[in-house]
Amino acid sequence: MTTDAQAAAKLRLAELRAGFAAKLAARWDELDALLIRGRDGDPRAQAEALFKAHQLAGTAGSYGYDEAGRHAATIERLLGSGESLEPAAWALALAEVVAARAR
Amino acid sequence: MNDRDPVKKVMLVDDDNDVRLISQMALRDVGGWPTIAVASGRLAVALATTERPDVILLDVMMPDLDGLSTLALLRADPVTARIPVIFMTAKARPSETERFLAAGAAGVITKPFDPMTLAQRVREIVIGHLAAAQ
Repeated sequence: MTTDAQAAAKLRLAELRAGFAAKLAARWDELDALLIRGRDGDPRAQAEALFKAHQLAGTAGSYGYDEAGRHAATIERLLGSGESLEPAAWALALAEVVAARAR
Repeated sequence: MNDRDPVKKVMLVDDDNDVRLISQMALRDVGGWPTIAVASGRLAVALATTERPDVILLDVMMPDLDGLSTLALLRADPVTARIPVIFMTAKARPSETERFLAAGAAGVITKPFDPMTLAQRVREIVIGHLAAAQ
């Protein structure tokens, strides 16, 4: 790869990172809403939240947002048992969203 | 990409648009490969027969048709049966990696990945896979 091509790739990567950063808040909002629905008894919300957390865990770190990826991975682990969650687990998952947004 | 590169064209399959964007950049802009990015396993199976990519990067956890089911369909078609498939997953415990390899995957790449080195990892997996197949 030539120096020029590498510089162009890094520029393109920076553009993509900026685009992802602009969408990250909306992804947390979506996950937060699913967690609240799950905590409040919507039976489909846990699986949907698990899927969204799994996606974000893999995606955020690839864009350089490692901390966001770790918060999403923690939520994925909390939801991943497949069993109904205790209220404390929902609270922990929601706290991860709060912590991620605070970064 | 050069004449001796075993990879000339890549197909990328992931339902997450943001993963498709950054992977496509990594494979096309860094790797130098024409890259076809699709959002579903079914579309990948349909397009692979005509596009004939040299390697397919396949997300594991997708709605509709997951990665393992997509791989099974690719293996069932003689036209696509021998295309190396690399799974990309945010969950790659050793037992799962073994399961993916046993199902016929050429390798497993864990998400998150470094976009500046993804193409080199893909190239190394394909070279190793082709060497093992000879």
